[in-house]
Amino acid sequence: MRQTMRATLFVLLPLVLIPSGCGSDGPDDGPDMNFFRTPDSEADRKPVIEENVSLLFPTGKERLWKMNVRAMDKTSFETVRVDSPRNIGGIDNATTLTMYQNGKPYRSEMFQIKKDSLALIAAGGNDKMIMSPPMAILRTQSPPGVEYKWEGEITFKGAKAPATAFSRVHASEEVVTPAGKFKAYRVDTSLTTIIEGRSVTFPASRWFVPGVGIVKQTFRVGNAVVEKELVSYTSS
Amino acid sequence: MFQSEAITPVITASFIVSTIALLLSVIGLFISKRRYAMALQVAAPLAIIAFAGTFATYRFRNAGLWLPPLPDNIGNWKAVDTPVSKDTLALLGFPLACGHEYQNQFSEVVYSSAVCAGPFENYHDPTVCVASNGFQLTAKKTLPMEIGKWKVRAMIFKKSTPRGDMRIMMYYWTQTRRGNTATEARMGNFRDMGARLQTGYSSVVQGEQNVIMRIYTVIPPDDTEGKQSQRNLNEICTATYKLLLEDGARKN
Repeated sequence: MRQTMRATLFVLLPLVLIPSGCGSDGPDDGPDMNFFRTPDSEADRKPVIEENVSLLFPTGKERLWKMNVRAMDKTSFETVRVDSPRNIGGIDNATTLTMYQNGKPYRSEMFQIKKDSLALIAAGGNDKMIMSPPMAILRTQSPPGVEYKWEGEITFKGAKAPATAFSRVHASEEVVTPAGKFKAYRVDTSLTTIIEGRSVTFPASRWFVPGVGIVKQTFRVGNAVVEKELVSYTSS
Repeated sequence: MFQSEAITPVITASFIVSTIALLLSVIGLFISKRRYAMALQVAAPLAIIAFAGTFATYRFRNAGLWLPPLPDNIGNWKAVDTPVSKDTLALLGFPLACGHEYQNQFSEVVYSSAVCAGPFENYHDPTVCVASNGFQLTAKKTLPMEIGKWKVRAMIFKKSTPRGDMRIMMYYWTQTRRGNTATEARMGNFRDMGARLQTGYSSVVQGEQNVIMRIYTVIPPDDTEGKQSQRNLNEICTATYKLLLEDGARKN
């Protein structure tokens, strides 16, 4: 009897251990667990921005931003001021920001600001790229990480070229600049157009902070990555 | 009933020999000469084992013959065909395999590979393979993907480089032609035995065909919480899973 029991145990023990043996991939755990979120399509479809564009991109006449500019291991400094509105690209009263280096204006950007969207109308120095229709940069009703597409034409030095842009907004994240820590919405844009017969892509990211404006920007010009960070600003 | 692609000359020969041996051992039951009858009856278990072994070999081979296509373009993602390297294929016992590299407008890249899963040597777990390339597994979580019972095993692999930590986020799952999915490792000799038994059962008894999916991306440093990387993986994986379901249903 005892021998039968022993023999039965001898046979059953491995069979019991087989399913109880844990997998070689181990249990769900690890120091980087915060990188995972369980997919939730309903939550992922909700717009990420709660504020109006006028708060994310405040452009009262007295506004002024001072930025650090880093490109090709060189650092410079620029001031961004709100200029008088202009009529450009068939848009009246385009909000105009002008960048100054060493007290001299070198570049302007014209925007169309609506309650729930921000669009770029034109940008550049003496010769400006004009987008037609205005190129959507920010849409507050967009869910996080979901791309929105813009298709239009860019006019530069009198020549027109077709262009496509994709933009997306991310959930707010902490960003650190010389002006301090902010909770910012990052907006990525990738503009593709044809210059001298070649397809060229201009990727850019902007970090918007409610009540402050753009606190950080990165973009690529050729092989150079340019990074701008807010040093100080006037909000009144 | 039988897939001719899975029947090799060796399998055919083995089937013939084991069938003849089985028939002879049955004949042994009716032979009056005791010496021959005993010999033939002793051969019966061996013939049954040989027959079963041949059948299992055929079934495992058949299990690795379903290579579904990977989606070419997903939303604004463009795919480039990137065949699995010969070294990797050699390591896996030369299974059927294919790979795609997806790139979006923001220059983000997601890599995808499908490896047919026949014999056990085709199953190499990422926790072992990726780790052997200098990466450390720093997180693992089984994630439900909101479509039926489909789950993936999400993993983070980290490697320290002079320019900072490099992280890979990977989703791993196996999918049968009938649409069943699993996330367990099937590589270890003892610890993965439960999953290996399931594989053996589904391949040999149920005649399932399997494919192993690994889809991963390198988390860029500015994606500090990996949110966009995971979104990208979710998008590519969902489209891939759906195409596999479609393809499986079409060929079944």
